Amino acid sequence: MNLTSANDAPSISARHLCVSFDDISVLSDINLDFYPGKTSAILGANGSGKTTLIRALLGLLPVHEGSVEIHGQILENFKDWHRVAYVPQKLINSATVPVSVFETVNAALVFPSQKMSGKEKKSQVLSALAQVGLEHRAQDRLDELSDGQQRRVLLARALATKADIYILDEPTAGVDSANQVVLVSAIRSLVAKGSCVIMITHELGPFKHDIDNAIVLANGGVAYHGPVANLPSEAESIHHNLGTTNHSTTNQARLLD
Amino acid sequence: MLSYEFMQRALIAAVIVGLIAPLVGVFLVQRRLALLGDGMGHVAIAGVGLAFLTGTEPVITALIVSILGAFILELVRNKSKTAGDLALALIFYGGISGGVLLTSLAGGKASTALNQYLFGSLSTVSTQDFISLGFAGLLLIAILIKFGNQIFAMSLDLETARVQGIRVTAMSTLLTSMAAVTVVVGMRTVGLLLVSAIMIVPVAAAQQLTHSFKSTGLLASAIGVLCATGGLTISFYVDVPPGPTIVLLSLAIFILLALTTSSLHLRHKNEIQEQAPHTH
Repeated sequence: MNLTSANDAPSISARHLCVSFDDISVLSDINLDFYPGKTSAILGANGSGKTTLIRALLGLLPVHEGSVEIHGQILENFKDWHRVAYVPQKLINSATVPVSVFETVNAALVFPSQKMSGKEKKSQVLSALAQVGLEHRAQDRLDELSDGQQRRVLLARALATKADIYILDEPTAGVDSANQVVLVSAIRSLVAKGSCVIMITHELGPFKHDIDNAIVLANGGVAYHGPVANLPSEAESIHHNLGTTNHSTTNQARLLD
Repeated sequence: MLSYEFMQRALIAAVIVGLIAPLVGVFLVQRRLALLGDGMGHVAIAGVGLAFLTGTEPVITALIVSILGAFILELVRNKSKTAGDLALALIFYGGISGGVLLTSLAGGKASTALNQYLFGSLSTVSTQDFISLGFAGLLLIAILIKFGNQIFAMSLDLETARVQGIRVTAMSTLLTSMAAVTVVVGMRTVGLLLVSAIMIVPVAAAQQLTHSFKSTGLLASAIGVLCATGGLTISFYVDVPPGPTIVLLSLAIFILLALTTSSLHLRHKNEIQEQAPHTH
């Protein structure tokens, strides 16, 4: 099932996408479209393939079968990576050599295909930090910030790029409720400007009024794709039809919080 | 000391290695590849051994062999299921074994000469070496200016760098090759067995004081120049090999800064506790 949007072409499309690790299928026959000006939430129990799906959409994992298109171009031919921003759960090497908050955000503006002046970069970095309420911490070491503040810095990295596709892996995990409001507001402003936002989340709580499409992954496929409003009854049916474990039921109950 | 021409050349070579090695080392530390320089040093030993055997120029031969080793290392890491540290160990052992074997086959005074390359020697920097080292140093600085931002983004997070369109395999190979060139730049003064230390120890010392990657690189470079020239000067007057002297001086600065910053942190913590209201 695809939820189509106005007359826009999809920002990202997946067709018959299959991902396997060592011949074990993790995702099979995934067909999804993500549209500009829409927010999509990818939901599912632990191990359901949420992170695998976004990594496959970004070309970070080899796709066993099927294809991904970004802005109408096959992933392998896509070059305009400055139009795509990715927020991982955490940076791999953030706590080895001291790295300042400014440098962390600035590094997201390094694009081999697009040159920016130092002045332009500085302006975008400080503006993005202001959006997440951390401009006063620009010169501090990243590893001196709390986990929640570090997640805000990661979102600032994405905001600074001024991309039109944002892929976020649990953007509010570990962020307190006051700062979740800041993050939700920043993400809402991206969508208002026509950006396509795709996020993995374990709980819809802070976003429940902002999600246009909810996608629930289970047993390697899309178990539900539709409006959040229909999610509760669908989730029950998913549980019944797919015979998911009690653990999944608990997780799905959390999604609806 | 400066009236000797060989010392003038050795000091300038020391400034070059002290300046460049930590600037490359800071990226290696960020990528958790602090021992990469050691591996490249061992590969360069094979290059020196090959130069003895073939009668070619050791600096040039070591440079070619080290860069070749850097490409093989990246190939093994990327194309096989061998873990990064295991790939490094394989290159490490192959390099030193090959170097000693080739030197032994070369016969004559090669074994004695190898010692000068292993631990550095004041008198071994020839004019031709000096030109090669200067050129290699300038090349490294040019690469850092051109690709430093991309290598930093990759060092911070490989996956987001990939999404930014950065060619991470190419940048990783470039960084490993830069480590290989740095090893050869430092082999005359610090020696192949210890040259990795001048890439890493000044970075460890500098990061006790700094808050950013850029300031860590610059301070480490300043510490590198201080230790390389200071160690060389001590080596001249005390008649000990320069390599160990330079490295021990770097370690002394690291220990001094580590102790000072720990003591300051402790004092700061105590002051905060004293200022906090007592609740009984």
